[in-house]
Amino acid sequence: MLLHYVLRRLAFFIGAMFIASVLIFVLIRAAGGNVAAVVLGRDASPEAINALATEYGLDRPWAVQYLDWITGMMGGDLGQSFRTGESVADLVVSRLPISVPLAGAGLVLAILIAIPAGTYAARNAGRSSGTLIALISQIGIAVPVFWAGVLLSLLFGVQLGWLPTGGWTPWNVSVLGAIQSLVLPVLALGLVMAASLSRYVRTAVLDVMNQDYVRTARATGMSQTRALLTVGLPNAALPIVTFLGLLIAELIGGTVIIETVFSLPGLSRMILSNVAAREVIVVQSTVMLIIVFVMFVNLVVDLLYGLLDPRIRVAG
Amino acid sequence: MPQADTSNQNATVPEASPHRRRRRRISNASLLVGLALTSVFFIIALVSFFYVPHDPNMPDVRNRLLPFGSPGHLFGTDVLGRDIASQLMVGAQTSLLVGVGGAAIALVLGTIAGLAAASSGKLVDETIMRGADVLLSIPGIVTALVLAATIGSGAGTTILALTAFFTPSFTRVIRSAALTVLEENYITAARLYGRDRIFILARHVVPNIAGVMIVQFTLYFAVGILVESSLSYLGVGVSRPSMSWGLILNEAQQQVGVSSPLAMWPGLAIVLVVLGLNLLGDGLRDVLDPKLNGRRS
Amino acid sequence: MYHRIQLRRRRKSTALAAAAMAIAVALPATPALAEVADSPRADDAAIVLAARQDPGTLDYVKSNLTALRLWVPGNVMEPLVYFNADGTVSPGVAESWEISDDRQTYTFTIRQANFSDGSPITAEDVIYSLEAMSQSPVVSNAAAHHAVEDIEKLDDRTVRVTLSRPSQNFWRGMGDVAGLIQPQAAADQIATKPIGSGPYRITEYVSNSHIAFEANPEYWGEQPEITSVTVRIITDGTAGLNAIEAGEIDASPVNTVDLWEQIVNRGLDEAYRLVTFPQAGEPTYAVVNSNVDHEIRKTIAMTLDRQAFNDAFGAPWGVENTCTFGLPHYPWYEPASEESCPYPYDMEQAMTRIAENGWGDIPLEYASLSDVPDLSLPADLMIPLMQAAGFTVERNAMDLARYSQLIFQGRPPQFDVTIMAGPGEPTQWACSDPQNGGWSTYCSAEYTEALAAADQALSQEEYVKHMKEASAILREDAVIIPIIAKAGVGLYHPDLVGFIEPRVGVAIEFAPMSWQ
Repeated sequence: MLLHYVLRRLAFFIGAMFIASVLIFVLIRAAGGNVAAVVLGRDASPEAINALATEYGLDRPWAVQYLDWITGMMGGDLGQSFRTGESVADLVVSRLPISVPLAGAGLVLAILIAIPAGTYAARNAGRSSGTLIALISQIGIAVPVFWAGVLLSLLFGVQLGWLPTGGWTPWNVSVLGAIQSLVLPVLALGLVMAASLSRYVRTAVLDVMNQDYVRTARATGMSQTRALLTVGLPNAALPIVTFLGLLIAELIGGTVIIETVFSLPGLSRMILSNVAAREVIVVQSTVMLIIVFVMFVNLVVDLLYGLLDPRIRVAG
Repeated sequence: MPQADTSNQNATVPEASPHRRRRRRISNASLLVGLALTSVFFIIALVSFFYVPHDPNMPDVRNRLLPFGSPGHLFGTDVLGRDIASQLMVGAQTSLLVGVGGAAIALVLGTIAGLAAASSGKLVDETIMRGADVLLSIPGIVTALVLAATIGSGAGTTILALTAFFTPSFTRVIRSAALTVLEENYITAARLYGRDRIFILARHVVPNIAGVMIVQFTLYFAVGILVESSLSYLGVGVSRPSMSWGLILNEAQQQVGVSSPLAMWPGLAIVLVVLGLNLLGDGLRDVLDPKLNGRRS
Repeated sequence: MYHRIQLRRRRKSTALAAAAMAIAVALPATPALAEVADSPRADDAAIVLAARQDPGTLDYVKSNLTALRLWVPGNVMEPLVYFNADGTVSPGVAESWEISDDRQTYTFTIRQANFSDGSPITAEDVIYSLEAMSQSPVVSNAAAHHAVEDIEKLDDRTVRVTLSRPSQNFWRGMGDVAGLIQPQAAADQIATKPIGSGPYRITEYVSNSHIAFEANPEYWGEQPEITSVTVRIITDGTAGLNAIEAGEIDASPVNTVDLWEQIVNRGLDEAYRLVTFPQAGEPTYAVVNSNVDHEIRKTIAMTLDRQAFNDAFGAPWGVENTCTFGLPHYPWYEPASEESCPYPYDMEQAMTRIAENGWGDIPLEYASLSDVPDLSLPADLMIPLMQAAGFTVERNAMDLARYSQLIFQGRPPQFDVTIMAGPGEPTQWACSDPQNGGWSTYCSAEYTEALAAADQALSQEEYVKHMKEASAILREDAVIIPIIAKAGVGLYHPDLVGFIEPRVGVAIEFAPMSWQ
């Protein structure tokens, strides 16, 4: 049964990736415009542009181009930039030292705030303190992440002058500088995500607190904290794990916006500029990598879910 | 991409406790505050169709970057001397249009797909739900970026992008709500009477999940406003001569730098409206859907 | 209980709003002008400069990128001659030169000196360099060599160039990129480490990171005071300004228009030395499709409030109103005036003309770029002005790639009106075949003839006269309608002196600079 469940999920994973790859391939091509024209600039003749497009292989039928790309992807070849000849893998790797710390630290910050805050709000539900936390998170959910970034850079960058309002100092130039350029973006991302996460934690804990097993544990004389920790938490883990999957998607969206707010040359700004230049291979491959990552997280969450909840394993 | 907060659906609070009563009061307060903020937003958006103090696109460069409270320009002017108050008002129009448009189309599609999944056999159900999963796993913002490049930016594109984000989520919610209703005894009874599927869905299921639909609509309306402003902020949403709160911020940052006071007003407007809609949604949930507050077995 | 919660809620949200207001109101406070600290590099005779763009390649024969032309010519590579700002000509690789009376024979005497790799400059190297340039894919480089009929070596240090007709473009080109001299033997390393005879040589170029220079010990002239120069590539403009404020860099020699307002707001134009120079600048101009009736084109020109475009950039320096297509340092350039503007801003007349002729019913498609802020801002200004005058304007906003497809490569280009900025070279509008008008749709035999006459002019006066004629034809036709000329804007540490206006194209020369 368990093996059957895992196999089904894997099959879905592969099918979904195929659909996603076709979607992204068609969408970026339907955009019109081509990289050859962008490279050659405004005074180039249409003939010269067609010649370059042919050189790039962009005149081949879409099906051929797709097969070429997807077989390369499956063999681990992400292709290369038309303009510079740099491999997409190198391009992606060069942006990771910005995007990964940003997203990672943002997520960790969100979790560090949300779990205690959400638990506290649940345990004090109905009291003013709990309501206050719930209200704060309700407001936090309403704050667009870019505005959070703008406010933080106004306060800490412009008014107090403690941190840069934007821009990126590479790690190899100054580690301190790199950390400084990440502090505000991480804060903005982490705080906004903490708002929705804490609300979810609160609901989950409230739910668990009223389950029979926790009540039973309480009836045996266990303190509420102890009951929650020993019996409640393992049970609450399930919906939180689901939510983490969704959170990853939110994290990626937030990172795109925050990198723009703070002019960080990360992965998403790379995608943006390559969409603008119609570097179709760079866009396709990078977006596919992200989709594979998100789907992989979903797959792992799904499998964990199956392991944690026997009902799903059997029914699924 | 922000997700609508659907978590409260599972919330349970012991009945007949003092907490329960307080919760009821809080949800009443939520409803009132939410209703108030939402009404102000609707009124401003509707008024802007008939009256704005200035043409939000008309430049007046000699009066550029006037501060808050300048005579004739309550919220000041932007880099070309265009009136910010008027831009905020017309921006409310776009938020309203795109938020309602995206949430409504997704609601219709999601309801159809969700009901089909809930009432059909396993194969249809699986296909629909797995399709929804694929759509959910493509980062929405990436789709929107590519979509904006593909068909150009604008309110229409943004609504399309929102529909693509929201439909799978709606499908999930509607399906699970419909499944609960379909388990009820009277549905079995109706089946025994020989009622066909469409009749049962239209007559018994839809009215019973209407509360869920309204609540979800309100919450996704709010998310739609957040997403729309984010896309316009990134420069792939609405562009002039249309106006959007995100676009005001985008222009302020590109042209004046991040320290521009212009960045305050659209941000504040977004927070108030989204907060209002979320509070309204929460309040409505408690009023329309008392079952959801009951204990789950 | 109920009331208490209500109250708290209200208090909370008023407090939040108040905090937000407080931040907003406190904002306009300008940061105090800090005393600029001494550069830590001053004692080492070194400077670090910021560049916005990575050149990708240093091959100046094949690439026309400003990112390359700012640093390599003039510092590493030398042209045959230098044209100074005052109109005089100084020796470069050519120690002396002789021009025949018919201006068709140029005899250059080569300086007895070495390239930075120690090899002597030979007549063969000069011939090789000029011939390579004549094959350049960069139109303006090759154009300088169009009239060249023959290049021959008279002796080891003398080269004679024979032209088929007099050509001002040739002579000007010998003082520009088209006249840079490289050793034939080192031609294969031109992309990463070009060799020249200038005061500096390249020690390292790391793509997307930096270009490093040091003083060239083989240089024929006086050794420069600054011995080490690093050009750091900081693509984000704000980050570049942060770096200059933090003292990490000593100068940002070219700052694009999107940063000007920030420079003013941060007080950098007061604290640092701001230089504006036309060479690295560019005009912003409207383009009205030549299909559109001439009278309507004239009327569109009348809706252009040049001063408004000028003010929109938010800096009191760097922009000049103009009706002349060109850069302000060209000898024939004229700033905006009654004489040089055939259709000056006149909203009332425009409104009358539109109303009388019923032009308001003709829809005009305005193609605007959505992802290039220095062009979308002028479009935001121009469209409402045209509408206010009575035109029906439909805005078609698109990104650069789509714009390239529909307009630059579209045949015929898909627009009625658009706005553009770019090189100020007037020869780009020359058009010999009316079927092949290029993206601007402008094709005028008269204009093209005037340009050719200017090229063949025998004297400076004659050249200027013909260029003025060409310029007048262009502005009368109102297809290409100049609005403003933006200058190159540089920021320098107050102790770093010696900036001179570029002599070789847009090149920023390091040699005259020094720490005070």
